[in-house]
Amino acid sequence: MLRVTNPVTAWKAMPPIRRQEALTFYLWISPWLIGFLIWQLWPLIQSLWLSFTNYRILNVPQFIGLANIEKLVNDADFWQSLRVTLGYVIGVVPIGSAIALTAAMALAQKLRGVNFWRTVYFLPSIVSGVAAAVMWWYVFNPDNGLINSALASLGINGPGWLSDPYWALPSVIIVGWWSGIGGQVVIYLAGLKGIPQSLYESADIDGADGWAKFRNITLPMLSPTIYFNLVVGIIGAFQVFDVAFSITEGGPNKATQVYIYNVYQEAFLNQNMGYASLLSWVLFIMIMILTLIVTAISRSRVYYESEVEG
Amino acid sequence: MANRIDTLPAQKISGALDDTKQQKRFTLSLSAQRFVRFMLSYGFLAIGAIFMLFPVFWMVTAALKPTWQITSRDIWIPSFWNKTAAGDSVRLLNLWFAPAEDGEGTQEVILFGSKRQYVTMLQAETLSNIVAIPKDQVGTFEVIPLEDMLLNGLKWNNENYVLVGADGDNLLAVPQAQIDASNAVVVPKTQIREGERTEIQAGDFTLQARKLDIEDRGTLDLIEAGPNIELSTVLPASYAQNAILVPLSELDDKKRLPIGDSEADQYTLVNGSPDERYLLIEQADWRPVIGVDVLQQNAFTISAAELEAAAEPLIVNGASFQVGTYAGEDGQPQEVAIVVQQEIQSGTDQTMLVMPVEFLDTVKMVLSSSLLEPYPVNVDSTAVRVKDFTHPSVEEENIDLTQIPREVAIIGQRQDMTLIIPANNVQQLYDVFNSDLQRNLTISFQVQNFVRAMIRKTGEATFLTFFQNSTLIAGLSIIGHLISCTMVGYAFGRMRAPGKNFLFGIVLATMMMPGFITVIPVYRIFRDLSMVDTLWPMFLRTFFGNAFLIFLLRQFFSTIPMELEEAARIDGASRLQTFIRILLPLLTPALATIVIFTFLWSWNNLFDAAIYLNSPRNYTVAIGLRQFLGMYQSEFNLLMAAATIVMLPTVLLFFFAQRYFIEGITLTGMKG
Repeated sequence: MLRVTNPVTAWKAMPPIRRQEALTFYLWISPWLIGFLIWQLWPLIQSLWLSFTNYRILNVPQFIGLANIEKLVNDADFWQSLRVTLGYVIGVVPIGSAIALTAAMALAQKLRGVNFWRTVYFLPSIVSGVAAAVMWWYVFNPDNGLINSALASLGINGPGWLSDPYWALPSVIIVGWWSGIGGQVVIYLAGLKGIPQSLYESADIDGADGWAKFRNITLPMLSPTIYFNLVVGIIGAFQVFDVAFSITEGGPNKATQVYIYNVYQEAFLNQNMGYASLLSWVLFIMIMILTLIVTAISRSRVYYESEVEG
Repeated sequence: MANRIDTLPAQKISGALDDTKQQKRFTLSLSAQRFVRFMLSYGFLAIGAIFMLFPVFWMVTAALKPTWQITSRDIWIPSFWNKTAAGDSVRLLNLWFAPAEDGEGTQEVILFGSKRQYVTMLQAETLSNIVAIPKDQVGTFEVIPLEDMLLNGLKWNNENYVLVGADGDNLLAVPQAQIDASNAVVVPKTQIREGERTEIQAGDFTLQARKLDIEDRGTLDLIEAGPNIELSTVLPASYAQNAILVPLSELDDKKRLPIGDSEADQYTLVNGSPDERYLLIEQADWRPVIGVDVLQQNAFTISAAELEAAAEPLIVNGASFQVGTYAGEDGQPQEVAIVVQQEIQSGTDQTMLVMPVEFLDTVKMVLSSSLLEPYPVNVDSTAVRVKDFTHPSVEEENIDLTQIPREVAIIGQRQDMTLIIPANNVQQLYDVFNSDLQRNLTISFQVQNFVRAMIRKTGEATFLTFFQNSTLIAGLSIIGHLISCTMVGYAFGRMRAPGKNFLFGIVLATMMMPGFITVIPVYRIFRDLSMVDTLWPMFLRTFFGNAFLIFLLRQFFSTIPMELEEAARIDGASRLQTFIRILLPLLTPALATIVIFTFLWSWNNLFDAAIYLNSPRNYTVAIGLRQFLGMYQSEFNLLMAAATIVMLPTVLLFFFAQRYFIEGITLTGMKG
């Protein structure tokens, strides 16, 4: 991809007008370049270094070797948050993606009011955040909430939802579907529109049934979109924070102690910033590995049009 | 094919015709298939839409409900509870619908505290086949409804029995089939207590019974066979106009006496005739109030030493005031009432706010519970607690606002007051099942909940402050992104330079980089800059661009033909001039996308607000709402009003600029 040339010789070989354009280019991108160095690259390196220190905001960070890693292995909160977060990711990403794909496929058959449905599905992803969390907290309220009121009118005694250790995580997952599906539906819909209609027409001539068309045309043609949604979904789901922070505070009984909330607690409530840096890096690495696994799996399954053309 | 058909025998041709028919049928079933698929799609989408919209519906309706309605699960639409005035008092009583006494239609009633308990009883002589069931063999106990009655049922050997007594370790029961309206009767608990106890021998067993006179049936031996049923006693609403407000201490000689078709506690008045009895409707804490203007014109502050106190308090409209004689500046003695007594401060004389007694006529008693959040106002240098009755914080209008001034001062002591009505002329009073009572409601939206939520204190600030902060941050972030992202996007889309592709690769890589990884070092930077607990960390970084928006802008810039710009350059315009004059106008959609996404991120940014903002005056709406939730957990309607208002700007923006949202989201998706 990257042509390796000696920059100095390349620079000298350039005509003056190109040289000036290059200088202008660097001037114009300087906000981003400086920002990248200050707010991203340097913090990234620093955070790796802090992972091996005892930094606690007010002290000068001191290198303490592998002590943080040793602490991590024996940290029940870490393992709990890892379990909870994996449960959340498994609950939100595949099922949410499947629901979104089904909705998008339903919408793609030239139904009436596509814009209306799309708006309805997309709206929640706009209002996500603490307001949505507060809204869901009331929907899940065991005594006066929407769900238990509706269940009560059917004669069913609903569970405590967010206040019940068994139901709390499923409740957070439901909120995750609510706020996450809309964006995916829009992307899937665009992906479905991009599939050439001629493929379906020729399949019709061959007498293919609905399932065969889905299996052999829709799925392969949509695979890049599915892959994208999965990767973005996984990265997003690992960082879930709002409901745990604003409503459950990790409870009840640490049932919703999601990873980022645990990092937040360690860093800003317990002020173990060195240790929290390590936690961040562990999550970062886990996300990277998972993304690589998804990429590896998808490599054999994702079909890119350009592969055939090129 | 066609020429071969020509040579086929007629038989075969008809077979081919059959084929086309079949094909026709096949297409028919295809359209049926299509229909089914459409219906399934609509069904799936509708269920999804309910899931998406119902929480929002629930939030918005809750925001418009009065407080009492929040806990009533069965009312889904915000409503006002119709009320009737209780006599001359300012109190309004809730109206209910109950079945009329004769069973025909319903009528408006008021409830009063009195309840009555009933028990279902069985006629002893009609019972046969009594069985003794060992306690540990009983399956389950459950209450069996039988017309208006309830029976203590139990299951044994898959049969239903009704419990009628006990014999040692055995329970005595009769098959449920034996019992119907003819041998069961509902009797008031008070009547049962008066009945004579008897023992009935039934087979080998002894049952406990009571001898009771039952209307139309004569004296019967009855056995208790049901749980207590509690019925509410109701009065037709028209009686509310007879209500009188008196202090609790005025009531005397409480007796439970029959009245109408029920019975209720009845009282005499301390100074009244022993024959005149009263029903107690409600007992509550009341407070005297007076119009602030009356107080401001007539009240004045004196020191305690200037007052010669009288022994007896003065009672005005149910309110009791300490009175005394004040010498007055002109030497004319004046009878005054103490309105507000100041706290005694060391080193100073005790002062008090007094008012000539003749101005006390306008004093009214109001329910203490309707006085929410009073605020202080100074009257002649004395602080008085004042309540504004058109203030949005009087949410439940259980007081008659036409009878009291708009602004009232709270004067005098709280008092136990009772609403009573004369019992002597009550013709109608009866018991109804709680399930037959229905609230008398009118659909009505409590829009003032939104105002109340906005002016409610969260720490030392209100939502108005949070909105200001959030708007400021969003505005600055938008400016930041507009400047930085267009510049960088333009450079990446339009200029050539060594290393450009490599740098753009970094832009793409940072798009995928999770934000939390840099949180702690970035916090360190802001701490070193002394920017923690200021608004700076919330927007400063936008001036350095954003990978996603830079990517977006670059795509837009690449779609604009190079010739346009080159033409302008040839005419002698500088790069900056061409950028501003030629390119920016073409970029309006891209800039709209920047504005929208930046606003959205900034408005919903909870994590940074949680980390950087500590004092309420710096809160954004996101973190402010979270604190609001912590402080007013039980006031669901205010919370939902606050959540609705916080959502509103993003939702409005979405409806006005839906296209840009969809395009932005689609673009990111299509990149993969």
